[in-house]
Amino acid sequence: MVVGNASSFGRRRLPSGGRRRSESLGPWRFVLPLIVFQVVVVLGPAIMAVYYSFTDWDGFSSAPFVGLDNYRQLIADPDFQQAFTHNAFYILLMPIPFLLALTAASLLMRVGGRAGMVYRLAFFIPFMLPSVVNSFVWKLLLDPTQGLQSILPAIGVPNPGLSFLGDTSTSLATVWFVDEWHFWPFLVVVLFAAMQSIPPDLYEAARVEGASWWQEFRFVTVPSITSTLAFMFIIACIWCFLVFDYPWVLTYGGPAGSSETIGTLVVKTGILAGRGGYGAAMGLMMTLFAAIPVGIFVYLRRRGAEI
Amino acid sequence: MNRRSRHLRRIVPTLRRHAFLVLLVVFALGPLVVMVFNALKPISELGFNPLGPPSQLALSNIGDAWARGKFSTTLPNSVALVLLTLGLGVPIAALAAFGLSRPRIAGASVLIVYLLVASTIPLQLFLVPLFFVWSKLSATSSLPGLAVIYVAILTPFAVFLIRSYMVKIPRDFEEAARVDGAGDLQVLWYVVVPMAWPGILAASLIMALSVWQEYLLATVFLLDPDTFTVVTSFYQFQTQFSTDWTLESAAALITIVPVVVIFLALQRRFIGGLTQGGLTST
Repeated sequence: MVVGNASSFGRRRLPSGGRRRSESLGPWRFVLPLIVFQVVVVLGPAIMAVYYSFTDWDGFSSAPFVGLDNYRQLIADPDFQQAFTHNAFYILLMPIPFLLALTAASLLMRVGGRAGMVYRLAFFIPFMLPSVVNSFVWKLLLDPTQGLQSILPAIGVPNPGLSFLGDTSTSLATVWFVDEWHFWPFLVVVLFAAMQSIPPDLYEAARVEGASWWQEFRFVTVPSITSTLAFMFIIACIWCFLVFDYPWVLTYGGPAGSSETIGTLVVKTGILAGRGGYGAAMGLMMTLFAAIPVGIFVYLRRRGAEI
Repeated sequence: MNRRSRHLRRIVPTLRRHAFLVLLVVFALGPLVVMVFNALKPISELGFNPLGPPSQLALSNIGDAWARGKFSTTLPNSVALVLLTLGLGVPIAALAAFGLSRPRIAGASVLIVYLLVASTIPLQLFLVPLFFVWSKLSATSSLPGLAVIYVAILTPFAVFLIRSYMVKIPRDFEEAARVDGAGDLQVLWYVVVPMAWPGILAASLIMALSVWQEYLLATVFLLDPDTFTVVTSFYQFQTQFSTDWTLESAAALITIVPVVVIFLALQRRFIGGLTQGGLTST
């Protein structure tokens, strides 16, 4: 089948008997290096993960087959359950960065030129900085003695001395906040790019009809970018299951697992504790969870939803 | 209605918009400004002025942080990782994009779906076996060993980005080159690459940035302190000197300056590439 299509490449070349062997692969030979890397790093280990998830593998020696034991244990594992609810927390609060980004992007639409560009650049900077630096900056600001709270006495309010990252009841929300602080600018830029491709006459028509800012936003802007919104929503949902850097760096999942996510738990169990089989099963579960939003998206599209 | 009030009615909403946007800018950049302030102030000032600008500059913080943060080791490590990843990854992505931008390749759609999945899949799916395979091959604590992983993880996105430029090139250019006797690789090098250059550049920038700021793999795979990157070593540094905010801020500043400078210089390609990559994969 490949040979038949090779003609689309060498269409104008005279058929010569001395074609090199690599060329008989046709256009696939250009893709071959990519495939090799995928097999070695991603595909091969992913298949191994499926196999080892049915074993009691410690990463080094033999791997006794244990069937579904790992999965049974996983479902009953309180640490895993807790981590799952923390990822779900990220998803539940997703409308917040989206609403903020939608508002900012639609405001940017009305501020053209140089000023608009300066705003966009400024928003974007946290997104491109390393997570360890962003985390450090917020650790500094949230520090009970030297952070933002320490300036309260200057205006006559005693320093409450709250340790947002050190308290089990606030650690997750704080980690989420710092993570979204770094993520929402990316949404602004993507949504803004989508809004720029809305035909201007739609807005003119709305203005002729006397539409208010809200009506323009509700009936022109949002409906015109639903496909981008839906796509970004799916991506963001997937990322909610991949959360790793911010809990790892800010709290190391603590205190007492109060900000643990599945992502950090996999590294702790599978690699640091050397429970290879169990960690592999956890990674697989995590992938399945991340696939759910995609499944819903595909299902809705099949049902004819215009997203 | 007189002209003055009409003017006011136009200007008030504009001011309100700017006020709100400025507020958001303060939200985005304010924390980083505090960090820059602290990087430049003497530690003795921190106690009574933890957030404001320094009353006297303590540039020695930077030198201290440079030496104690071992930047003379970690900076070359990070640069080497970026160069290794780009050197391998960009040609691989460009070749694959070229192959996949040809019409009607059998099986191409399967590969495209795979690449789409691969560019969003959790690392944790294959991380555990990958780590133990790499340990067995003695490829942990090795910059080339990590670069190979980065290449595999970052090329799917780059392929989409570069391909979106390649499919827009009119076929006539390629046909003309072929009439002149150019082979596939010559067509790629002399016709397709120059015309898809903006896409290749954007993909390279995004790859470079991703490698520079990557934390999860770097922290798992680089165990020997001599192989630490700027980012993983900053984390160690921070836990080690957790009481000296000024020293840590100075280290943070050194870590982000190269990125911010490059980003501001090339921001159009960065942002264009990121948004386009996000939009074209729909």
